[in-house]
Formats: sequence, structure tokens, C-alpha cells
Amino acid sequence: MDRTLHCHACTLALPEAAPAYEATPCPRCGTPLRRRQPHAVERSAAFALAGLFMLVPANVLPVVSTILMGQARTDTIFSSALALYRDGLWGIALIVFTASILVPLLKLVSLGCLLHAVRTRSARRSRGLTKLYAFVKFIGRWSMLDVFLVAFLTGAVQFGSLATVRPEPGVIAFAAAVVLTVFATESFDPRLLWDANIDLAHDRAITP
Amino acid sequence: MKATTHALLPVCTIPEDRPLACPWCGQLHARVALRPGDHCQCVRCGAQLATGRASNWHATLAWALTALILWVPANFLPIVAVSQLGNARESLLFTGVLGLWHQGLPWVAVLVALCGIVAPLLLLLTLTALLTPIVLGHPVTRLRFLVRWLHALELWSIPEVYLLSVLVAFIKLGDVVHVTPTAGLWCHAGMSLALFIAWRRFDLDAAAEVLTAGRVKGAVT
Repeated sequence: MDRTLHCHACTLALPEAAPAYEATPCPRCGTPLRRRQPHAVERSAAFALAGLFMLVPANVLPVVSTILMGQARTDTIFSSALALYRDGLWGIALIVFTASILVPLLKLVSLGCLLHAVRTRSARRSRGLTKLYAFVKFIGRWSMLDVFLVAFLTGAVQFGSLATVRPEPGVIAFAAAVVLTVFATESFDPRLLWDANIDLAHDRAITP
Repeated sequence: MKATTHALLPVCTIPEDRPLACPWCGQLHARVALRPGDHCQCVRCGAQLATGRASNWHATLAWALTALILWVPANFLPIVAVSQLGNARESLLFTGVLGLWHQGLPWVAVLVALCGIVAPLLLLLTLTALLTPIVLGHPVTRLRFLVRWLHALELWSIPEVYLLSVLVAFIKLGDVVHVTPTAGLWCHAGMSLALFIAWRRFDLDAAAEVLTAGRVKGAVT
């Protein structure tokens, strides 16, 4: 078993940590020490599943309704990206599509791969999977784009019947999906990806 | 008997020759001296662990203070002026939050306020509170607990995403409503950039070490 331990918050490393150190406060910053985040796989899977369920209403329900020049329309996430594309703004359409539809799906698929690798104690591709986790952590925040966009439009465009933007219930589901996938990513512990390798190296060392 | 029980309780102490743990995979590394321009990667997972740049507390504090000062106009000056057939309206960052709140989406409003306004402020205040005593040569050991909040604050402070959403809105509204960026937007952009640089330059491990030791290496004590 891996006997090393490092503080999750301040990265203080303890090379030969006794199991009794588990949950004692870090001598440097006071955060409870954890060799691995408790119930990382279960918590991460639960949040990811909840996020997946929330993505359904987030994509089906309308997120925003607009009245412009007397014309009223209601948009879902996909239809607003499509409208941008039809207006010839394909660059912006691509940004909105990537941040709001592709990123949440990619995050959940990637988390599925990571959880599967830990569950099956796979010792292969640990390096690639760790990089995948770092990538998932990095892209997660950009999904908030659509929530911010609706917030900004709701605040800025209020001209009565001439031009008005109203948020629709889909935004709640979408915001919930984003928050749940962030929780799923944060509950996961990438150190778990290396446990099978450590055990394998240990077995090889005692049975040459 | 009571004394024995007490002695058996795990009391964690900081190892003298501190190794460096990879924050991603936990692999331990011995510390080596790096020259400027060097990059040091984890032997196991390949993540970047350190660069040859010495932790410059003054520069980091300067960026954090810049961002903190810019936070004020970024949130109290209008970010855009929107006009439609002679009706003009100025909009603050907070206007969007209020809009969501009044339209019956209080939780989404709270989330937007947290990510766009509150978390960046708290992150900047935390960085300033940790760095100012270090720069002055008297690290405040009692402030060590703030290290615990840093990751969570950084996770939720996403002013740059707000900026991108405003840019998307500009282009989206372009031909229907007249939108002009105003001073607050430039301050917000400056705040996001300064916050990003300050966080990138902040050496969490070195800061935690300095705070524990209670003195800055090389400083007159």
C-alpha cells in the first residue's frame, strides 16, 4: 500500500505516514489529512449521475425568452446556438455550443472513464487519465458561460415591449447541472488512479 | 495510564527534509535547486511541479492589490450602456443578479453573484491578508487556516467567464440593440487579468512554509 500522504490543501508531503494520521489536522495548515478523499468514487459517481439527470431538463426546457422589435421568441440552449449560427456568427455559435453542450457532456463521459478505471483497478493509461482529470477540472468553469449570459441579458435588456429578455426555468436546471458536475469533479481523487500501479509494482517486487 | 493514551495519539510533525508531493498523483520528489527557465515535471504523471522562478512575494502582492483595487470600479461602475430607440440604460454587474432575483430565480442569482462578484473579492482579500505580512517580514502564523479556503475560493471565482459572456452578448445583440462598453467593463477585464496573474505567481507551498516557520527566509529577524 502507498504509505505516502500529502495535504490536500497546502500540498505538505508526509513520506512515511502512519494510518493513524488519517483525519488528523495537517501540521502546517490544519486541514484534515486524507490519504485518499473519503468515498471519492461513490460521491463523485452520485454527483455525476445527478448532473446527468439535470442535463435533460437543462437542454429540453427553454432557458431564455426575448422580445425584440415586437417579435417574441423562446430559446433552449441548442436553439440559441443555432440562431447565432444562422445569423452568420458561427464563431460565437461555436463558443456557446462548446461551453454549454459539449463541455458538460465531455465532463460526464470523462468522469465515467475515470471512475471505471478506478473501479476495475486498471493499471493502464494512468498517466493519460490523470491528464484527462486535470483537463476536466480546467474546462468545467467555462460551462457557466450560459448562466452568466442569461444573467447579463436579463439585467441589461429591459425596454418593455421594445426589447426585453426574461430568464426561463431551463436556466435553473442548467445551473444545477454545472454545479453538480463541479462537485463530481472535486469529489474525485486522482491519486486513486495510481493505486493499481503501486500494488502492481509491490507484487512484482516480492515475486520476481 | 492517561499519559500513555495521550502519547499514543498521532501527533503529526513536519518532516525536516521536506519532499515535494505531486498535487495530482501524490508521487514524492526530492527538492532540487532550479535555475531560472527550468521546468520540473512529475516523474510519474508528467504534471508540472515547479519552475525556476523564485517566489517573488512583492510582485505577487502587487498583482493581488491591483486586482483588489480594480474590483471596486469593476463592480460599482456600469459595465455597459444599452440604448434602444432613444431609451438608454446603464447596467452594473449587479444588475444581472437583481434581474434574475426579481424574475423568480433567486438561487441562480446567488450563484452568479457568488462566482462573478463575491468569490473573486474573497480570494483577493485572502491573498492580500496572507501576502502583506509576508512582504513586511512578519508572517502571521494565525492566518494559516486561510490556506484551507484558497482552493474552494479559486474554484468558484470565475470573473473571466463573466467577461466572455459579456463579449458573447455584445455580438449577439449587435444589430438589434445598441451596446457600448463603459469603464466598468475595462476595470473588470483588468481585475480578471491581475487576479489570474496573482494566482499563477502565488506559491502556495512556499507561503504555507513561511507562515509555519513564522519568518521569511533571508529577511532580517
